[in-house]
Amino acid sequence: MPKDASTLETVLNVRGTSGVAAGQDSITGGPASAVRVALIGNPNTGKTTLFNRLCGLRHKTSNFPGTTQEARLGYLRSADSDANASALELVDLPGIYGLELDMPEAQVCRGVLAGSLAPSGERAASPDAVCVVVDATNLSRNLILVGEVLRRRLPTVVVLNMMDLTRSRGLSIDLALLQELLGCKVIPACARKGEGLTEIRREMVRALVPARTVPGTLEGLEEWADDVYARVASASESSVRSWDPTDRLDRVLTHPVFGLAAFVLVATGLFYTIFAIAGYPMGWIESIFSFAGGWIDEAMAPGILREFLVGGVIGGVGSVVVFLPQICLLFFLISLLEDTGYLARAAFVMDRWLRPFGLPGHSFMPLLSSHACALPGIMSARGIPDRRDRLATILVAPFMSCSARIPVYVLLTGLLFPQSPLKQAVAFTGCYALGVAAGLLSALVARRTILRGKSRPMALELPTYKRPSLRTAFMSAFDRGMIFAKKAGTLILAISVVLWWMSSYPHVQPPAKAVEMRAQAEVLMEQKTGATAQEAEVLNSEADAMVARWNLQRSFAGRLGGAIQPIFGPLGYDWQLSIGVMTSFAAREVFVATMGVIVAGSSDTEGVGFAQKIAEAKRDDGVTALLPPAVAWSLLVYYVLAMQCLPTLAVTAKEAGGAKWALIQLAWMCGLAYVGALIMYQVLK
Amino acid sequence: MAKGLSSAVSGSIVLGAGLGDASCCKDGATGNVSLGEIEKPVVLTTLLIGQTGVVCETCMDKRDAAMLRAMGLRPQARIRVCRMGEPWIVEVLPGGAGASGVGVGKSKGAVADSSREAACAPAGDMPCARAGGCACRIGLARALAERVLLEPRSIRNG
Repeated sequence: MPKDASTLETVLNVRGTSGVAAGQDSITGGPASAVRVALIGNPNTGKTTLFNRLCGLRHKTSNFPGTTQEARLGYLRSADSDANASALELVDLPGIYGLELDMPEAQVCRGVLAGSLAPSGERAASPDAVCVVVDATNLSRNLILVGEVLRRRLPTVVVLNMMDLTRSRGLSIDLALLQELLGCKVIPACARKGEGLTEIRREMVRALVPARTVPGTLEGLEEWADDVYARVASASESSVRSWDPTDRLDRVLTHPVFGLAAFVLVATGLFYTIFAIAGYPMGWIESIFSFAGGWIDEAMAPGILREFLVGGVIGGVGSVVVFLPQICLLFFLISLLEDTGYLARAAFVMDRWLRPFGLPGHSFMPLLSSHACALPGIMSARGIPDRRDRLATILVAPFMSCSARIPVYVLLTGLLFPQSPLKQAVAFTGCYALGVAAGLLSALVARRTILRGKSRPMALELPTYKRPSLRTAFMSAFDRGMIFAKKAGTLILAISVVLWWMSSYPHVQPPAKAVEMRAQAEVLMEQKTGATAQEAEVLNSEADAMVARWNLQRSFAGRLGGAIQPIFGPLGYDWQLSIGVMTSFAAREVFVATMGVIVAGSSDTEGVGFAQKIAEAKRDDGVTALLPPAVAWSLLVYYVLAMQCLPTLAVTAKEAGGAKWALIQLAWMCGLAYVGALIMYQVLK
Repeated sequence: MAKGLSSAVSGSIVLGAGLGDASCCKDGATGNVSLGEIEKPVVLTTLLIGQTGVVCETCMDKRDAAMLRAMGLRPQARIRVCRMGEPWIVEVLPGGAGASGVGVGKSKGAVADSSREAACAPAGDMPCARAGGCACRIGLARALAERVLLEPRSIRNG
């Protein structure tokens, strides 16, 4: 018997003996006493979009302790216009199909609902309320998760998301009856358009323990879900569409040939867009850092502090932060693609290609994530059911070109093709392709040697094709950009300072020839004619460059580079590049910062861009280019293949269940990188 | 209602039983599709694009079976084949065949029909069973598709 919402609310309020509403007075106030609401739902229900809509930038990303699952914690007020608005703390849980599944995501959800797990740094306690996000166009299946949550007897609200799609398809849902049958508040919403947000915020603090009991067995729950669906859902004849593009699109996008062609086109277009657009903000950032360096140089007296700020901080961090626009743009575009529903199809396209290499289609997502960063990629490999599949994926994940490699790729492809964005894009795509190929071949080797056994077949939900959410894409780009910026402001800053110190100390006497050149310049300047002044300036510049190279060669960094250079000599690297390679063992992007501190600071091309400084940098003989094409290609291959990330090794050891896997990964990747770079240099030189 | 459908299935298959039990595939399944009549369960890969069927069981590793079940491929789920090959794409239609399936009224907002006949009607008669309707799509590797047993319900209508 359907009841209207107000009647039901009254009934629920009378029945409810616990819940958030009962303790509302005690929970209003600051974040310390915020109402904790767990946001749960099936994958592809728009949960993340809703989280972003509700919390915006007021959120932080951490993880659930003892797990590898990412946790997002957002903050909001229960209602904007309400004077008694409560502070809400929203915990975004991983998307799951069932709470009782033997999956890491489900374990996290069970732990949070049971109060035994909370995001790192937060108190572990049962949430004050649970908000179940349901795809209204797929209500039948989503109701099973709703039932599983209702069984927990926690204050619950259900959000029927994607109501716009439901309406456009001529489907209707009797909300009052659904509320009655579920025994909790049901809120229609469209997170993408921002519909229903006020009501969601309001109802989260009014949530009550459900007034209905659902069956305890899975079979019973399925029947209950079917029964509820049948009673509340109806469709009109207008919902029959004579033609729908989904089938045809799926047939093309998962086709062995057309699907792959589409994937290659999409990937190339994505990287081309990055190159074409990101250049503008990169130029602005470069100008800002250049201005800041110049300003400090003029404003401060010469001394260690000025050297530290200009050379260590601005020189090091600036040369890495400049790549922030590309990283943000990459994640923005990936998020857009994911939102369209295309990426799931791409997973199947790739499954066909992964399987011959002994990897299941499940590996696609971890490998794709590794293109952002190997750490979440390796962590997400936990979702791969088979141990051998999982280990193989973990071992090859760092071959995928992560965002830390982007600055290196951009620098080197820019040096190789300075006038052609198209060629840069092709080379850039080639780097990604080489990483993927090396990863696949390595997986094949692993599956035929240390990880023999069959792969598990793939099953994946293919979400509806839809217009992507710009807001979600912006949030994704913002999140990843912040993570990168934090890394630049901490680890990279620290390494930059150490590198600056290593490359600046000890101070040594300038070479006699440079002293002589400066003296000559001084004499010429005293003559005060235009020609002699110009000549003096040239002499001074040459003397400066000579002194800089002299100092660097005798610095701690120079001595270290000289010691390890014989190892990298066959690859075409001099001591400066050898230092760059060694210091970036901790994090790849540090290579660019190293070059910024060591090379650009020693060149005589002040006033031009960083990339040009690197391009014009010379070796010790003052004639040979630091990075001729053969060396640039060799470095590119080295950075595609080498394991240059300490945190990744640590995570591999943890996730794979032993340090031996990390050592295997390190030895294999570095060995392969060395051989690949050696071949590239010897062939091209 | 759930048990009502079992009488329509011949052979030794018991609906909902043996989920995740590899031995259940040995009997009852046939590779031949007999269109227009309800016969023994067949494997999913024998259906053509546009054909519908009711899932009897899945015969695979327990974790895979549990995952598919949670995704909607559960006993008595009605499905439609959208793509054959690698991957096999099926649409899981809303409401189980054995339970009160959603029916379609003549006009918008019509009351749901809970009769078994309506639930088991060919998908082509049901608006939300059409592509892009209220169903969800699942892509399956051939190795999994070959382990889903179902009862064919319609001739090719896609």
